[in-house]
Amino acid sequence: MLDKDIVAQIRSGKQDKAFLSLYHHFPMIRKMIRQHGGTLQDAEDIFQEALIILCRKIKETDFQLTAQLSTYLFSVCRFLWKDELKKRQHLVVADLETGLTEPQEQALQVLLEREADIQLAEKVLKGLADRCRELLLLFYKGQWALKDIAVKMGYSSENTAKNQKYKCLEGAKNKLKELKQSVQIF
Amino acid sequence: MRTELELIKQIESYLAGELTANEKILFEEQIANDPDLQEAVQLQQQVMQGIERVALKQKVQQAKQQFKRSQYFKYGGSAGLIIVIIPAIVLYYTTMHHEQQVAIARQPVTDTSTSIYYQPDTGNHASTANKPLWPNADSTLPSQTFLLAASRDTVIETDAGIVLSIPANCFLDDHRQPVTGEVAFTVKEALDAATIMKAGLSSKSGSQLLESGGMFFTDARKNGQALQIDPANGIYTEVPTNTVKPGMQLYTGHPLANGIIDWVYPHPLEHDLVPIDIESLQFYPPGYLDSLERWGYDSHNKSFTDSLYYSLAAIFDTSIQVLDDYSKSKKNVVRQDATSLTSFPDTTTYGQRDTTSKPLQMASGKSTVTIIQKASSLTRTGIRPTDTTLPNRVITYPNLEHSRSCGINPAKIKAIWNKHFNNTLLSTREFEERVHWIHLAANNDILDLYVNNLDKKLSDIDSMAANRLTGEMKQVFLRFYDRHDGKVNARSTAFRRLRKYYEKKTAVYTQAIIKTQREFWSKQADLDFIASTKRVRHKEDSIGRTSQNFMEELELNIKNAWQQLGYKNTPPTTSRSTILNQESPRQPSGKVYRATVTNTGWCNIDRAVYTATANRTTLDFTDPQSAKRATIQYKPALFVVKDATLYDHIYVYLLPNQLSSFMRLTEINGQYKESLNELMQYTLVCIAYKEEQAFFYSLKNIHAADYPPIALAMISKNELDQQLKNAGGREQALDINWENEYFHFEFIDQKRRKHNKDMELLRYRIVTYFFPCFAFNIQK
Repeated sequence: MLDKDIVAQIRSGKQDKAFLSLYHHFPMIRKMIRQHGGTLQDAEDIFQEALIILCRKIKETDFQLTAQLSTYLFSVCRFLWKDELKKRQHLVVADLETGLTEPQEQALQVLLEREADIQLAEKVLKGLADRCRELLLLFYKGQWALKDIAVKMGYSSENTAKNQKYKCLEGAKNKLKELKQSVQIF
Repeated sequence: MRTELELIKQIESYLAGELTANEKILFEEQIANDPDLQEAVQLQQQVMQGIERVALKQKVQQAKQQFKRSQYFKYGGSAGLIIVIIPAIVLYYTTMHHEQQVAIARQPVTDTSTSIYYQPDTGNHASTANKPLWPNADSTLPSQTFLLAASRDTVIETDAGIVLSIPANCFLDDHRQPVTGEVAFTVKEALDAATIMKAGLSSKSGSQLLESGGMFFTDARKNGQALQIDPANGIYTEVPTNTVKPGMQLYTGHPLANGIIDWVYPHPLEHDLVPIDIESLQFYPPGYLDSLERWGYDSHNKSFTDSLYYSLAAIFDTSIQVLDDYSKSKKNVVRQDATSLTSFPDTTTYGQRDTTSKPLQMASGKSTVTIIQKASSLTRTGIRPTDTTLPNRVITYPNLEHSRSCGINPAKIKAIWNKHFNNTLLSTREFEERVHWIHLAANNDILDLYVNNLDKKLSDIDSMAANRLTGEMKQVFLRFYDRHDGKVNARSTAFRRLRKYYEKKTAVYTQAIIKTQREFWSKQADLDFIASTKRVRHKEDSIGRTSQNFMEELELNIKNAWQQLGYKNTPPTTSRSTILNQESPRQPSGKVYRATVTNTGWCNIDRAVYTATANRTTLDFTDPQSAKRATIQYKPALFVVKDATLYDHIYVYLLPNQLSSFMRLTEINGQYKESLNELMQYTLVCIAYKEEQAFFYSLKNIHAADYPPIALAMISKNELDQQLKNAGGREQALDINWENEYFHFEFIDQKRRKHNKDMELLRYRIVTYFFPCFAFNIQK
């Protein structure tokens, strides 16, 4: 798949094929991470995170592809792994060049910090009751009509489902707030 | 609605960009002035992004799965597939409604061991018959339709990677008759949470929530007419998964009146095993093929690797007596062979044997004896190296108790590694993994356990195996047990039959292999004996020919010398015995005085001629009394063969016209040199072999010179015989033909011996490597 097709697909929310196409770069990245003290699991985590970062980046309105997508993905992976090594207080990170410019790295750093908050939200969502999570995913990602959700999940009416959705959101918000506070304490 | 929820709704509208321009400005002002609201908006935005992240993560996981699967199909591994066999009865139940919806799911807390009764329940479905059962599933899930030939086995893989193996004639029509022709087989699948939810499929069994491992729907139709699946001939289905979770079960979809599917009739999966072609599996000991490869053998030639491996079954034999007899008989042959060799240098025996066409009258003269002994000592050293080609490595066989722990009897492997065990748990990748460890555990009982319990679950046998083992191996089989691998479904009578087959075959194979081995090696021993007999005979003949040639040439030279010295009459003592018995008193002749004088002369001449002939140097003798000279010229001729390195063997002969036999020239640095006696005419014959093909060259009237390289020409066996007959006298032809045949035989036999030696060596290496405790029993 051409880079511009991948970008277009990610923009329109049809990531499936784009991801599969990008996955073919995984062996190269796995090699790089293993060479720099990472495990297979690390490689998978970093690569998946890089794909998500890439999605976010592409969805930014001013995103311009200046290099090959694979080069960019590789750079992001290097950047993420370097960051991870720093977090693990690894001393040998000097030889890991991301190949990114200073502004690019800064922009990524911002994105990464924002993503850290979203990761907390992800954690919260995973901790929600299955019904809540299912409801939210169906509504927001599945683009389901409330009346279908009501039928599927056994709510008496569309309104109940809608109310239930807000309750679930509220629960998620409150939990996220707690989690963020507890993170800040540390 | 509560105010908190109202706020959430408002924030949602703002975030989704659903507010009008004025509303938006107003709301943003509020946010700017209210830190709590600001936080609430931020939190909600993050939750929304979290939702997106969860969805993205799912897609990433999906991509990873697909990527891995593409790698899997590229490299033929088997990682990450859970294997499910849809029990035929479930299909039967669902085909009552011409459709089936199947899910693999596990209950978070559940007892998975309950047995299930399948009861066709039609009451509920009549009411839904006219409505789409799962409106959303049908509308959002793309259906994948495959056109199959109903009478053929078909394997299909869906987009998401479900592999369905559809047996021939498994679709039945309403009259329960197999349908033929083209069948449209439709699959819908929802394997990940997002797709499941999007499709509106829930994962509930009654009030219990299930953790889904994927759902799929199948439908088979012919000309729009729904088909049933033969309950006795179900479809093997493999559903891909990232991680195999314990406790997964197969549920059947049961649509409720409100359109929600209730998942009912859980059926334990047990990771039912899928048998594959047993011959595509690998049951050799670990490292066997690699070792062969490393040692330079063709490890891809299965008939070679098989026969080599199975031949090792001989060391596991239980009937020690028979084998002892065998090795004894083998030793006997060796001894016999050795005797025939040692008997050779005995000159008396040699003298009595009349193998040459012209019998030699041997006198017991000293010089003769010296020649013979010289020749024989040479040939003896020439023969000695061939001793090593005799089968001198005898393998003795230990008793059975010993062999139990030494390795897996290859005959047992041979008995199971064939198509008779297709469709049993032995013909599964799972069993192949265990064979590796069974070899390492070197315990034949463990192998028997698996083979004798074909009707049990693999995990049950694993636990039995673990019970019999200790230490590290016990842990290995306990780990296997933890996988809960199931069984291959087949009727138990079939297993009983196979078990008997295995027992019988193991015994038969072991015996057959031993018998074959014994026959092979005793045949080889016979051949060795024949070869060495021929070798000995050839050496004897060569020596005979050498001495005969010498005698004949000496006689010729003496006659000639006498004539040159002026003795008109041939000396009265021309018989060889006289010449060779120079130191014994001569027969007194009538002319005593003269006899005394000539006696000196003869003696001198004889010796001079003798030395000249023996050394093949020019004779130049002057009679001290008559002052007459006698000269016999020996002049060297030199031959080389063109492209000599192209041939396996080259033989260069000179056929002297005055002698009854031929001379074979020995090669020194690629040159064949011989001193030619001026009294004789020579014919050159050169024969060479490359593999089986003979080459020939012949030239008459050879004179002393450096000849240009001999260019050999290809010749057939018959032509060669013909040429040889024409080349020299009748006796020479016979002799050379005989020698030619011998060389040919020797050439072929050398190959045989080399092959045997290689095989023995290889067997020795393999035994020391894979059956180390037998290695001590092999005598080098």
